[in-house]
Amino acid sequence: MKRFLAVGVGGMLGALARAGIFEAISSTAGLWAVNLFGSFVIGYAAARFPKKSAEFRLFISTGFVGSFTTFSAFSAQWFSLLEAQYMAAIGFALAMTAASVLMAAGGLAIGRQAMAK
Amino acid sequence: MISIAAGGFFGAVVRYVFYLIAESRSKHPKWATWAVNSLGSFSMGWLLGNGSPSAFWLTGFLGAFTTFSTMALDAVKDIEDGEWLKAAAYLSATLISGILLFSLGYLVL
Repeated sequence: MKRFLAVGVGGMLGALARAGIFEAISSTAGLWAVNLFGSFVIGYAAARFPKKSAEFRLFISTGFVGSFTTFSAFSAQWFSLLEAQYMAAIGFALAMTAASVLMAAGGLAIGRQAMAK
Repeated sequence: MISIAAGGFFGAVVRYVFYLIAESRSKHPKWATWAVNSLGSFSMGWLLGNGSPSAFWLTGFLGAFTTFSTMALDAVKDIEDGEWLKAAAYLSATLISGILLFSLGYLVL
């Protein structure tokens, strides 16, 4: 039960933060911001918090960051680009995916460095 | 604001249930992320293609149910294990099923 609550409360805060960023800087730029930043944080958390409680890790990674980043809005943006410009749409999808993978790898590397100190 | 919070709460919890099921039944639990992203994209397309959906479902539930960060981290783990092909297949499968299912939901249903 505590684990579900940790995921749920994290998910609630993640969704609110995402909505706030979309509101503040537009949903197009906001999607880049949340997905790249969130990917960095999930990599960092995976390296940095292995000894924290399961609830804490679920709150941060599965709850907050899982909900802060989003795939459904990504598919929606990709779809609306496809209707306008085929190549730009494919470029958009590949670029966001590659950038997120790089950010997650960067977060993991920096988290490991912090652990080693 | 309350509807986004409530949707976010339930979206994340339902995604967690998918992980729990995948971890107990499958050797490849990361495909749970593929499943939520595919299902979430389909639902997003269907909702957007059929009128104006509420913030509860769109920003709250589906936004939280689907995830980009877990997909990215899963791919990084495969790459670190030297499984480049697996990572590429996983990412391509997610992108392709996401856009196809979104289109199906949006255009067809």
